[in-house]
Amino acid sequence: MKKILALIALSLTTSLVSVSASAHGPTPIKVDKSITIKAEPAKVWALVKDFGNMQKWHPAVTNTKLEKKGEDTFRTLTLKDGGTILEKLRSVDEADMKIRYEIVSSGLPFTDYNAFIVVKKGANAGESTVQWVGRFYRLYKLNPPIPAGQDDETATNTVNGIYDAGLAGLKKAAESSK
Amino acid sequence: MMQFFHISSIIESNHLLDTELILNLMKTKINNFTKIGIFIAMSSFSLSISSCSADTNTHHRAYITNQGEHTVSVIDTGTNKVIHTINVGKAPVGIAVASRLNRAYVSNVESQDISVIDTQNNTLVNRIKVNGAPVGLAISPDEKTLYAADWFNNRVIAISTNSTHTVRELSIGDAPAGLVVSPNNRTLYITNRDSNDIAVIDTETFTIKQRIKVGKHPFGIALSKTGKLLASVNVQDDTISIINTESNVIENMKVGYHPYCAAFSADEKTLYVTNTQDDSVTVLDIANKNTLTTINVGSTPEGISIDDTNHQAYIANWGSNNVSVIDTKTNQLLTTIKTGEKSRAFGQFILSPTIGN
Repeated sequence: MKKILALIALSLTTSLVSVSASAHGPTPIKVDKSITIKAEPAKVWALVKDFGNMQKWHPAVTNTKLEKKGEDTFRTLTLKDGGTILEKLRSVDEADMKIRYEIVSSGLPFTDYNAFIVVKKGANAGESTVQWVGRFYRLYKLNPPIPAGQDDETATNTVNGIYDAGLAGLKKAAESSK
Repeated sequence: MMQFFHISSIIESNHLLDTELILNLMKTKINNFTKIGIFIAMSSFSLSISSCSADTNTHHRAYITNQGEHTVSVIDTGTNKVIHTINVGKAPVGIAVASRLNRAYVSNVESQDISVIDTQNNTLVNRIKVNGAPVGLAISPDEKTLYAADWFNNRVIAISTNSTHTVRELSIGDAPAGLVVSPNNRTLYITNRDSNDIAVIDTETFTIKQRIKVGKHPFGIALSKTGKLLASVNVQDDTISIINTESNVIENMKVGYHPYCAAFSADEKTLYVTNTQDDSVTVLDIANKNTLTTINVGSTPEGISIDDTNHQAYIANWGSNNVSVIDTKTNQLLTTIKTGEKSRAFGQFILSPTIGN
């Protein structure tokens, strides 16, 4: 948890590199994490699909502001260190219990990020499995040498940190609340 | 004819199927042969291959690059099963197949090289060093030239499949991605992702003849069987540009979110487009300029090729590490084949039998 906040803080202070729609390196990165939660899928899904309330389960998020722009739904996440992330909702699939979203802008050290979270029935009754998969690129889009903090490893570590903390937080929130 | 027979028997007995080797053999054994003589010998060589290896080469194969585990999965499209997994260079993306040469070429972005696979026994036989980041690959229909787009250095290189030494190179638009060659071998088309155009290259002079403005961030490219229709897949504005190469008329059509690659049906009536962020394939009716249907596939679909004999489209899913198979007659998902981590298969990846060629 400290690690991810430190990384977020670092990225916010060192760069205001916007998530532009221009070039990126040819190798996309994937982070794919799963967790088993001792709670009914419906209960877990209710938390996951609530796009305007991520602070209820992600420990790095203090506030979520939901906004509608025409047909599109956005949220601004405020992080513990004061940084913000603007995200766009892509779809909510009730049948598959799957939500898709993407990052519009952030100070995080990765770019072109899109992800989904899916909730499935667990192996045992009353259990759920949650899978969180993200696709993104490192920040630096040109030829090596790659500046420190803008490489594949930094991008991967940051997303790993967000997912690990988030899934642990989701487990805690779903298993504790009634 | 005695000489040809002699060479064929050498090939058969040693299972040496390298054209370079054969040409060298011919040069040493038959010095007085002209180029035409070599050409005739090459033709007879390919005939002998198809006849002696009919048991292993009658089925079509799909060569799927797996970026995350540095392998290529070989699918038998007759049974839709993976029959081989081959270790290649680091972070393989692009693919091109040469059925008469019995070769598959794989571009490895991170190891900056091209792996050469012998498709008769599915083993790695060569590695072509490229100083840059090779992404898109294409083989000329005569199989004499392999083209590779070097993303980092904004150039395209032409490699002789005979000597595997770089023969020519050309600076091109920003971030060249997909490439295709016209059926008559004369024209090479390249999508330049960051300059939003297709470069049209004369393969004889190796110069740019024309630039065609397309949508935003063209990545994948497809050419219909006759070469009449050319399509660029424009990632950022979720469109396809279809260009009539005879009249130069361009039509833009909307597809799904962040499309990546496309393939024409053999009859040139429909175009299949992978939508990476919708996990779907859009089937476009070209004449009526509308969407026929949208088919759900695996997660983050990228490369697509159609096997014209069984009318099945193969889609490499980067997110779910598998290949979706669509029946193009019914436009239904037939099956899903487990491949490897981060399947991409960027390029035309179906290897057809050589019989009849």
